[in-house]
Amino acid sequence: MNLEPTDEELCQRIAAHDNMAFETLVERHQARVFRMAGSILGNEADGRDIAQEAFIRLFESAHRFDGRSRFSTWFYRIVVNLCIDHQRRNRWWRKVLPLSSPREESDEPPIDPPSEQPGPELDAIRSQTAGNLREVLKQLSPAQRAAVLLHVQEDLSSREIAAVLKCSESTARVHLHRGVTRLMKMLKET
Amino acid sequence: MLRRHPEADLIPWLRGELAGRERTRVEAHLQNCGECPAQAQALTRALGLIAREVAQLPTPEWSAFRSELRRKLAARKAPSRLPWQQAIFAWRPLAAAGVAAIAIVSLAILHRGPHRAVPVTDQLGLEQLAFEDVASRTDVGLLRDYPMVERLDLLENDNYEVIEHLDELAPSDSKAAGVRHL
Repeated sequence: MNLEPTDEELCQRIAAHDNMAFETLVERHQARVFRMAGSILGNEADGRDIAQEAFIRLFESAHRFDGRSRFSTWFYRIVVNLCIDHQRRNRWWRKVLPLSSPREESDEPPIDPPSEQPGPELDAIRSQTAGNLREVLKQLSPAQRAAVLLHVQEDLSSREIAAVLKCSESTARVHLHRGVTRLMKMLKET
Repeated sequence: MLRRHPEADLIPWLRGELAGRERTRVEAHLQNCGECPAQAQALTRALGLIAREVAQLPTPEWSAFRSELRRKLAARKAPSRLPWQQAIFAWRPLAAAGVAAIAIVSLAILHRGPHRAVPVTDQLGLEQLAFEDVASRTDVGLLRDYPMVERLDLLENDNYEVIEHLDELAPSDSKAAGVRHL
C-alpha cells in the first residue's frame, strides 16, 4: 500500500499553508525542475534561480491548481513560462554577447519541410560524448528544448507537452520531432 | 500513401499515444515506407541517449538549494512595508500623476526659453515710465512752486550751491540765475 501523498494532494495542502507539504514537494521535484530550467536556459546558475522561483510561484499559487490536469503539467507550465520569460528579458544582453546560435532568438521557428532522407544517425549519436550532446541541446529553440526535455525527462505525452507550451498538439509534436532530429543531425556534424 | 512521411507522428506512435484512424494511417505508412521504420528506430535510440544525458547534468547541493529557497520565500512572504506605509503607497498612482503634471508644467516653462535680460536702456525707460506714472497720480500743485533752472549754461561747475539753495533765492535773483517758477 502506497502511503506517499500524491503531488496533487501535496499541492492542496500547500494551498492550506502546509510548509511540510511544500518541503516534500520541493524534495520530490527539485532535481527535475533544476535540470529542466538549466537545460532550457543552457545555464546552471540561471537554472537554479528559475527553479527556486518556480517553487516560490508554486507556494504562492497552489490554490489555483484546480486538479483538472496533472500536477506535473500545471507545474511545468510555470517552469517553462519562467524560462521563456527569463530569456526574453535577457534577450538584449544576449545580442550584445551572443552565447548561442542566432536561431535561438526565435521562440516559434518555422516548421521544417519533411526530410527527403530520414536515414538513421545511430552510429553518429553513439560516438558522441554526453558533454557534446549538452552543448548541442543549447542550440535548439526554447520550445524545442522544452518539448524534448518534457518528453525524455518527464515522460509527458504530446498532448501534455502542448498543454505546458500552450500550443496545439500537432505543434507540440513538430517541436518534439524537430528538436530530436536536429539533435541527431548536429551530433552527426560534430 | 507514401507521398508524405508522418515524421511528427513517429514519436507519439512509438509511445503508443496514437489511436484509431491516426494510428492506422501511421502504421500503414510504416509498412510501405523504406525510410520511416529506420527513422523511428533512430528516434527511439536518440531519445534514450538524451534521457541519459539529461539525467547526468550536474546538480547543486540540494540542502543548500532548499536553504536558499527558504530564504527567498521568507523574504517574499515578509511584509515589506508597515500598514501606514502601505496606505501611503496606495496613493502612489495619484502621486505619480502629480509628479507627471509638475514635470509637464516644468517642461512647458523651460520650453519657453530663458527669461530675456532687459537691456539697461530699457530699464531706464521703465524707470522713467514708473516715475511718470507716480507723478501723474500725485498732486501736481506740489510741483507748481518748485523752481526750475531754465538756463543750465549759466550754472558753473563751482556754483552748485545755487542749486542747493534755489528756494532761498529772491525772485530777482532767480531771474538772474535763469530760474523760473512753474
